[in-house]
Amino acid sequence: MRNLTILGLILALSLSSLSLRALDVNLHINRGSDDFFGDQIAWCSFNSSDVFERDNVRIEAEFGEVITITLTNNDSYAHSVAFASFQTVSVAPNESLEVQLTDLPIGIWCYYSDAPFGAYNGASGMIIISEPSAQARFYWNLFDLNIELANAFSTSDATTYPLDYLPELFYINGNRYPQTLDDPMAMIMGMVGDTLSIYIVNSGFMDHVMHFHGFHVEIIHASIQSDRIGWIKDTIPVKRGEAMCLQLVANQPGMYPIHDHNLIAVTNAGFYPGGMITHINISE
Amino acid sequence: MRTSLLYFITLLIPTLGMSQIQVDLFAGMNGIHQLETGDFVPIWGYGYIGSNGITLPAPLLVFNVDDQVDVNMINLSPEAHTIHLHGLDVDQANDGVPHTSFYVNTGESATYSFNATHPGNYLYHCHVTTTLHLTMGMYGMIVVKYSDNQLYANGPTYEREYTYLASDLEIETNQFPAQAYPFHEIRPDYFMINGLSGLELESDPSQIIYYEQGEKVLIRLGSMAYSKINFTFPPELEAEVFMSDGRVLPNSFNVQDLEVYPGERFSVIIQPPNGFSGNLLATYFSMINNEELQTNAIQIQEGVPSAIEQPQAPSLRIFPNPAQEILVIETHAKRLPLALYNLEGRIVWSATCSAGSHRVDVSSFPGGMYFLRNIETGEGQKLMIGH
Repeated sequence: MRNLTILGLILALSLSSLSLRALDVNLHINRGSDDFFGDQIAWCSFNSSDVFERDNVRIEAEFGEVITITLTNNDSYAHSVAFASFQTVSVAPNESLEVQLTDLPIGIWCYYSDAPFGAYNGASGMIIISEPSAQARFYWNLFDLNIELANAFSTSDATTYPLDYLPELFYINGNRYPQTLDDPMAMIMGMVGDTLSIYIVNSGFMDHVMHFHGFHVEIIHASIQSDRIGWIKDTIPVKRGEAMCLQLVANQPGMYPIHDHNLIAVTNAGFYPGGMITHINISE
Repeated sequence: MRTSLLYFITLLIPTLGMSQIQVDLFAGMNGIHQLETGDFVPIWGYGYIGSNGITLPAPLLVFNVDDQVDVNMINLSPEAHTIHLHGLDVDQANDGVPHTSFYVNTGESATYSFNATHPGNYLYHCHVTTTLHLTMGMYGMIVVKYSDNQLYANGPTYEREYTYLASDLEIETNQFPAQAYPFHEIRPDYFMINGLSGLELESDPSQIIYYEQGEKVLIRLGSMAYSKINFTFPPELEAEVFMSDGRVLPNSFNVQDLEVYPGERFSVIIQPPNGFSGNLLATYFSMINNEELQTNAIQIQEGVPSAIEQPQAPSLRIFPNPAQEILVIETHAKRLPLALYNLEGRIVWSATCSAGSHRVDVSSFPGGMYFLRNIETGEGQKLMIGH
């Protein structure tokens, strides 16, 4: 009888702790811009408040957590927001609604607005469901755009990408090199001996190929190229729409570039260097 | 000599364990490359010191596992360049990226050092204004291998090997590099394997995959292209992929269509059935919209012409370098006419060497820099003599 009581207590405590495993996320759909030498490029992002920034909120939960999202549309357009293939909701201008994501498996996905002025203008973020880990994490949300087209999407003068799409600007977390070096989520920092995780989604409209100087990395997760999981490489194709996780063992000190080897993407509207370049800095 | 043959002139297979190997390259911006149409385009690139010029692609560099390698580069061009050793995981100082290591300015020399720890396929290229300097031709391939035709430690073996570096260029950019801005509009319109395209590639005997009955043939693939390349292997070849980017794959796999993105490398072993004749196809796709751009074909044929076997053999190894009293020349070539030139261009020693090891007494030669050259081909190496 005493044993049964203890078992009941353990069960109750477990259920209690499970019910506490919840993550609340605020997502505001905000309209903003990027300034490229005086040219304003229309942007749309998911931010944690009504203050616009180009980097989208990362929804990062431990496996088993219930994710409750308060989604607020501060834009003048309605948005249809897809949380990968798990759930899609429509949110009208100035509307706020609640979305609950439960029982998500371990993995990495995109959430995005599929309105023309949405993912085409940067409104695409990362969902990460993982086991608890002490490894330092870094995040690359890759994105590319054409300036004129981005502005046409913002005024509904364009609704889809044309076949002759000319990408001009290339971003990691909404930043173009050298802005990327000021982004602690994009620039990889660590000590010799550290094992580091890099979470990637390609929210752009072409494949990108990230090349590591100084290190090889192991592909831990790949949503499209799943046959490459376990490969150890220095040059990693990330297909359009793909989510990946890489693991890097920092086995030597130094500062090294990491960049797209799709070489038009290491420019800012054609000016080199720019675009999808970041660095890794490993200390002794 | 044709670029494709030059491409096979490589370093050597040391007979004893760890070796100190030097490669002497120069960087230039005054090259010319003949297209399949017969037209010429300017190229920038690298060549062996003492050779006839820069080649597209740059010389294939082959080392043995455990070699300690110094790649010496002198910049004979009017602009700064570097050598990035793509995939070799060198330290920061040797990484060849100007802002994290250093520029090699006009007239300057530099040495990039690394230990060849992992067998596999690698690349080297300039990392100055990379988007332009690569389309202009400043790239080549590096192979690190075991001398006993074992792909990796305890890995599969092969009887024969071929190396194919895919690349592309935009003709207008090469013709007018000063007007190449904005770089994001570079759109390749000429597609190459080992610098050759179309019928030129198909008709060059040095680019044909020859095999004898029952042989396993290793195909080393790499890409310095702007395009994505799909290599299509005929199913009869039972092509099996074992390595990528200088690392062994956790599980080898059979392949018919192998996607190779810019900067990637693969090692594939084929075993053609007796009498097989066909093509390994390389189809280029736009990285922007996946538009199919061109297909190049590499012929596969049974029977190995004797004249073709030689490029696979190592040509020349000299040591020690610097030399003091005795210079040792090793070659696997049956006949190798060599001459040692001083800095004034005078021949101070010459001989026709046969396969084996040869000792040259250099004790009476004044100290300084010399060039040991193949008299017939012009290829050669820099040699220091010091007493």
